[in-house]
Amino acid sequence: MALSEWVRESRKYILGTIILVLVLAFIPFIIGFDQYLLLILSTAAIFAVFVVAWNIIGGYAGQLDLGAFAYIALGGIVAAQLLVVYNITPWIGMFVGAGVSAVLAAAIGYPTFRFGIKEVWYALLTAALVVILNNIFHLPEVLGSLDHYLPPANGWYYLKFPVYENIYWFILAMLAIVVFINLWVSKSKVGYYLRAIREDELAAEALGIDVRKYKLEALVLYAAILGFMGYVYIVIAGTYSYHTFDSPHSIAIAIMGIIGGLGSIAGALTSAITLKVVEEYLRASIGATIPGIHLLIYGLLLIIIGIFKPDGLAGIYESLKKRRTSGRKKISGGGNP
Amino acid sequence: MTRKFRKALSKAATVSIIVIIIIAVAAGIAYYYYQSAAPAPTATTTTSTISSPSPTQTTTSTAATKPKISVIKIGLIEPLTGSHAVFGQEAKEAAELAVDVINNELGGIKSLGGAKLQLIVQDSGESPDNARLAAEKLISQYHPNIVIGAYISRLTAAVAEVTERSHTILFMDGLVDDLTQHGWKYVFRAAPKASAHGKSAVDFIIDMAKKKGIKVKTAIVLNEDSVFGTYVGNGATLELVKNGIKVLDHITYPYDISDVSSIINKIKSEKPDVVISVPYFHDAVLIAKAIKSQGIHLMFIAGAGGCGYTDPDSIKAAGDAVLYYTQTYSFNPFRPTKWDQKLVSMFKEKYGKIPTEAGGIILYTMFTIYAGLEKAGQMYPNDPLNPDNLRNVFLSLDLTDNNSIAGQLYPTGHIKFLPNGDNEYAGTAILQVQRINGTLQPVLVWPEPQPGVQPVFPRPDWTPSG
Repeated sequence: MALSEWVRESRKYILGTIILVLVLAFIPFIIGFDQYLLLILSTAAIFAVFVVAWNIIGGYAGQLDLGAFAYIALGGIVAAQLLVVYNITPWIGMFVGAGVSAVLAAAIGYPTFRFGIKEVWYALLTAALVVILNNIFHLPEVLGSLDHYLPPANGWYYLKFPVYENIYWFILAMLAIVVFINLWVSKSKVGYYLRAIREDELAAEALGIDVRKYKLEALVLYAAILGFMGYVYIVIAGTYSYHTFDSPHSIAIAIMGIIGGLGSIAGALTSAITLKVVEEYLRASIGATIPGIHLLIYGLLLIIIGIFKPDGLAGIYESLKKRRTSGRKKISGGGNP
Repeated sequence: MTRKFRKALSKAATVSIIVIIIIAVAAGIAYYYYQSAAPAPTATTTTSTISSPSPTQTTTSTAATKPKISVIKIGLIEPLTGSHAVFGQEAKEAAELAVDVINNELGGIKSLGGAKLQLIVQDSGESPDNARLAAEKLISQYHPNIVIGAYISRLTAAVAEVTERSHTILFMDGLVDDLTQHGWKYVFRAAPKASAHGKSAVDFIIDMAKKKGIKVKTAIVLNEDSVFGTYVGNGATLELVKNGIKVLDHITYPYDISDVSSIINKIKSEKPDVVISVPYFHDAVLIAKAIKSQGIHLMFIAGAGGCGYTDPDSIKAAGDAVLYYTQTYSFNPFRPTKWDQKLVSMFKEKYGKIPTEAGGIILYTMFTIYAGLEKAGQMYPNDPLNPDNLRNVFLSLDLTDNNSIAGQLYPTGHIKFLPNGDNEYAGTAILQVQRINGTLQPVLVWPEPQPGVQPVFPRPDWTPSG
């Protein structure tokens, strides 16, 4: 799709995204640069980037991908190692990281889609990918057992600061870009193909859609975005090691994507930000009094949303509207894979 | 279905994002201000921003030269959930006990007018991003004077970055060596670092061999491959090499190993005099049982690294197989000093078990802080809680059995901090599994055996064939 055409068609959303990001970017001034709140916002925003990226493969293409941190950690570690070993700025390293993650995704995705691995098997495969990479990076020849540290220096060259506002604004800028990529995918031919694949892969194939090609494209795009943002995640985590290939975090991203509503950018954004904030609120307020209770409540919340809103948060608005216009007819959209 | 979805997307887009996020953020801000406003002490104390290193405490007068301090806030960040929760929980229990003793039995910090310690606990979870959130929460909301945490090295590193920026003293209970090698200024670690555990295990063997007139020539080092195990294993290897003992093999394995036969075969074929083993928990049981069942008779098998062969659970699981195995500990629950015995029995009474590694480190760390705060009141009566003053105070401490509770709790009985924050006199205690009155028990054998106990070295089933 031509750029001008895309801009014309999605003008409303582009404008909305810009306003949203500007509003979010203004928050540090309201909260007086409180570092704790800024860190929550940064963490929530970076997870929002991950979830919106996940939306491409999980939402549009309908592939339940549980391997987010395979790409995040790989891209991040590549950028971090380039910085630590060769003193190459992450501004270059992040692109290299994105490239490496994309190549991995292509290498994994090609045979996966070629041999028709899908649904629960695809989920298992991607979940296993995180564990496999975790083990590979644990080898003494790769990262070994040790914790690796970024250089102590701060500044834009390192994209690393003692305070969070700069990194927060950087993440917001990335968030806007990733939302635009999503909008572009959503409005383009690829987006329609992907959604067709999600709804019924056989039918899509029968219509002449090159299912393998478009699924692979979605996967590579998703992996590249995650690989690019990996370094930023490492900056927030402080250290990197084989532990960065984190299975629970990977599953959390898929859960946020599903809760948000498959294929909905607004839903993905909302669910990532609210779930991350709620999680941290529960951890900080009651996590130390009754250890573990916050995880229990968080899990219960997810179950409740899962039972009452299988369409995710995006479905809430839709069902409200439905109720207003055509009585209490229950809708069954969403297309959970 | 797809069309419905697109419709939902289009209508929901701008409105729902903005409304929900703004509500969420507003709620967060409201909560934050509500929280920080509620415990605000008197009108003189303002909620300072983090960039200002001045400690906030309850003050009642502004003009007085000597501020009256009634509460000193100690933050504790530990993994209370996830796979390391067992350590974090014990650390929390020990901290609560120590604060209780300091506040009630010792009457608070006397040099600060009997100021009480207030413990604020945060859960770091399992991942460094959560640990950092916990640290930011603690620092920005409670402004603790001193923070303790966070047992696991990568969590401790995440916490340290936050405490360094806000110039808050951090007492680390993570043992991995490199935590004190990053040039962090406000960090201290009383506990012996990981490599010191490996070194102690070797020193014990060399000491015993010398006393018995035996020559140790060869060794195999085994360690589970976590960052901690690696440092302990390397510490042991270095000390072996330094003492002219040939290291035949250095084997690493994942802590959740289920089949140890390849390790056992190597030990069997290479026939070392001694094995230095750095286990986690169940691998210790597997290795000990396999060595027994294979009928391997070595001069000695020494554990290192604070857990494994001599824990009550391991003895229960492995039985006879761990007889005469030793293990290095950062805390000595059998040290025959008044306060060590007193606190261990109090801990046992309160929680039904003796404090092990995680709890023991917190006990002497807490009493090191207690000693430091007492001294701060004398050295800097006008600004005792200023982090730079506190740092000077801790660097000037020289705690021994005679002058402090912390000294009595520490395995070597001596705590004196080096400029990088490590304890110059760091050392471990060594416990050995022995049969006392028919039951297998861990007993203290090194550096000073407990009364009525002698270390068993070499293993009785060893025959010096050559």
